[in-house]
Amino acid sequence: MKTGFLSIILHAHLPYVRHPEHESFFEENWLFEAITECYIPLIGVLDRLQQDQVDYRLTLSLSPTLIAMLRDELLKTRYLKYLHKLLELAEKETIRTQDQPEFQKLAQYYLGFFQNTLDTYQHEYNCDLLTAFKKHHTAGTLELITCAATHGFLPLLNVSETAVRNQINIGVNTFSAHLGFSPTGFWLPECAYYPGVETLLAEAGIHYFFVDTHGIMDATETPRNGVHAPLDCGNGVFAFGRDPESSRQVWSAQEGYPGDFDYREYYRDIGFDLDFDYIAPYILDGEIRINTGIKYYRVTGKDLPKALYNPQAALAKAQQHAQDFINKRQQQIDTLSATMDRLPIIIAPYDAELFGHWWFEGPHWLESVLRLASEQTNNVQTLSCSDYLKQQTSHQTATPSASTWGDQGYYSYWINESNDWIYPFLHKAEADMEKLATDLQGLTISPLQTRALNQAARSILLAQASDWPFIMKAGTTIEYATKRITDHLARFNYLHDCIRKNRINERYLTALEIMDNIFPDLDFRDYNPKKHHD
Amino acid sequence: MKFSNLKYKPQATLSTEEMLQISQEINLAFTPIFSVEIATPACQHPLSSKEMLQISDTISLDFAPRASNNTQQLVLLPVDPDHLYAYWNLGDDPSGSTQKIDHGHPLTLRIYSEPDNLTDTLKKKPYFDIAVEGAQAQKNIVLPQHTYQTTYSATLVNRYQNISQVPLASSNITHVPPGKVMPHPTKASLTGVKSMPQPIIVSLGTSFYKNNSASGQGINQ
Repeated sequence: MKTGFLSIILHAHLPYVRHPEHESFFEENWLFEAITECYIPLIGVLDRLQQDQVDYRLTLSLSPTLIAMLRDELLKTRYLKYLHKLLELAEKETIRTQDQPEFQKLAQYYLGFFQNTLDTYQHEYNCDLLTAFKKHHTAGTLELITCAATHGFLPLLNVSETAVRNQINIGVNTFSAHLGFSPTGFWLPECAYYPGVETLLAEAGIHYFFVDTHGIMDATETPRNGVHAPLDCGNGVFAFGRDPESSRQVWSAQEGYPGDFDYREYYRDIGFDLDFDYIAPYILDGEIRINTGIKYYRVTGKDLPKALYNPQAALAKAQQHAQDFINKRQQQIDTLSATMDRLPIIIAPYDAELFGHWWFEGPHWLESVLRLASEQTNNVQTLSCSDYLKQQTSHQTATPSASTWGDQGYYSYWINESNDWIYPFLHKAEADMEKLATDLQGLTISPLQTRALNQAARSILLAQASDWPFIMKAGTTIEYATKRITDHLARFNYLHDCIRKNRINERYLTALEIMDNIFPDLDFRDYNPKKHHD
Repeated sequence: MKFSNLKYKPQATLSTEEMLQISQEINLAFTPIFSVEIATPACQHPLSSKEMLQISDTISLDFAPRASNNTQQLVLLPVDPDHLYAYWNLGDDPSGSTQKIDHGHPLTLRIYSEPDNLTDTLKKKPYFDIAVEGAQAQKNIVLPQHTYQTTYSATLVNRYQNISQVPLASSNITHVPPGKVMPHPTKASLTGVKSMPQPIIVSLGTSFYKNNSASGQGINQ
């Protein structure tokens, strides 16, 4: 008999990285790597579970920027080129390693992996992964939800309620336009909650969202069931809290599964290991070494020479870890059920890109967890949050506490000495946009002016992405993040100036529309705060 | 039918290694997977990549974000239970006070706090003062311990003038959660006043390529 629920939520997001102004652009690889290593393997998991008629529930949050990129024709074309180049390298590797049978076996493994990826992407799903995900949503096994338009960090945009409202509404509208239905759940970017955002979520038709553990535990009322039951925020929107135990088992750098010695080592890639002349055609501009995706070693152990990767042993370990995960959830549910007035729900949210990219065996682990949970012999049942809310109709009312799932648990990762300079600019651009929309209320606006106004709004949204301050703090691609935020603010400033002076250069506007072609249905009038109050 | 059953007698003999090499070379050059047509983009752009790049660069150069000089504002942002972040811009004050500030007159940032569960609106709000300088600046503020979610607001005044005078700027209201910051805080940066950023113009010749992961986001939990 099932005595508790497990809700696994994967949040899939990448910033909008699309550069038609360049013949090729390295940061677009972020998407291509994620498609190859995460999204297509995840679809493979879902397809196999469906084929085997496994009864499971999984939730996938698709960010609007990712949705737009997955549907973008230019990026689809460039992805195919990327994949063909990868196939060429894998084929070359099978020849280079012919005198090293153990390496050659792995080279052949990668060749098969990439061929299968191409076959799935191009032939099975006609380059449309959203349709693949939707198929499983329609089957009732995969709950699809969404996120803020460009993953804006809402608590730090909340100087303007209109800014937050547009991030939420444009996100929901983008999801609906591409998936054909409205989402009931919402992933707050970075799990960043502030009291009051639930009002705007309710306006957008959202029923539930997620916060980190302390968001629930430090709520205005002590939560009777801890993080194992949602809180009603008082307006019919529910907050589910992250379960710390199940998170730690996967996320923790020390004790988490992905660090197991049998798993593939992310940081040993032939892009860095092989002779420069040989690898040059497959690295950046033939000059800068990068990850290629072909990796021959396993984690092995601290301070030991890296041992060869063994896919069979790694998959067996993933299976063991899945069993361990389910066993621990069973024990957890047994303990919780004894003290709770309802069936507990364990909320286990993860970044989707962990599965397959960072943790190569992650999709296999996930598949095993979902298969094990479906068996009648255990007391765990996978469930979506919307199904839980249908089953359980009375809830404790309280307001969660401001929180994020980032370092330190609050907002400091997104506002600190490395990135604080962006906020005066972001707030000013938002204020200028709102004033523009307000000033133009009731006036006749030409189609060209409308295009410029809508493009100005797109520039603001793209500048607001939480990814840019995150990267600045993480110290990874700081120059790119800085350039992106200053470019989008400059584009806004340019458009604002043109509109105010009524001197719109259509050629320039067209260039900006092509480069930042996201959110085609956006309406600048939504930036008029009075529109909401009228 | 098995290949060995065929009555095919090759004239030349080849070693296993040679056959493997020939097979792999043929695979590399002629495997059907590579003959798949790569679609061209559905939409043909009316502008070339080069033209778009030129336009992008021109706009980035000419319209780079700059600190505003004409808007008076004081903004508070929540950081964590122990910190608030404030930035201000006193703009072009017609009273001339901005000019005095620029010549070194110090300022006082007065922070008002009130627990959100307090309903007595008639009671005077407690406050604390912080000495600051600069007509355009930002500061991280260390907060006193508080056990309830607390509402904060602030005003900015000239330090040596009558405190009852009209403030130079008043802030928005912001809420700070209760509780403690999790272990290992990095507070090194949370002191001191910084000047507002200068115009940012990224060198067009600078490569912003770096080796990175898919999302630019590692395991940060």
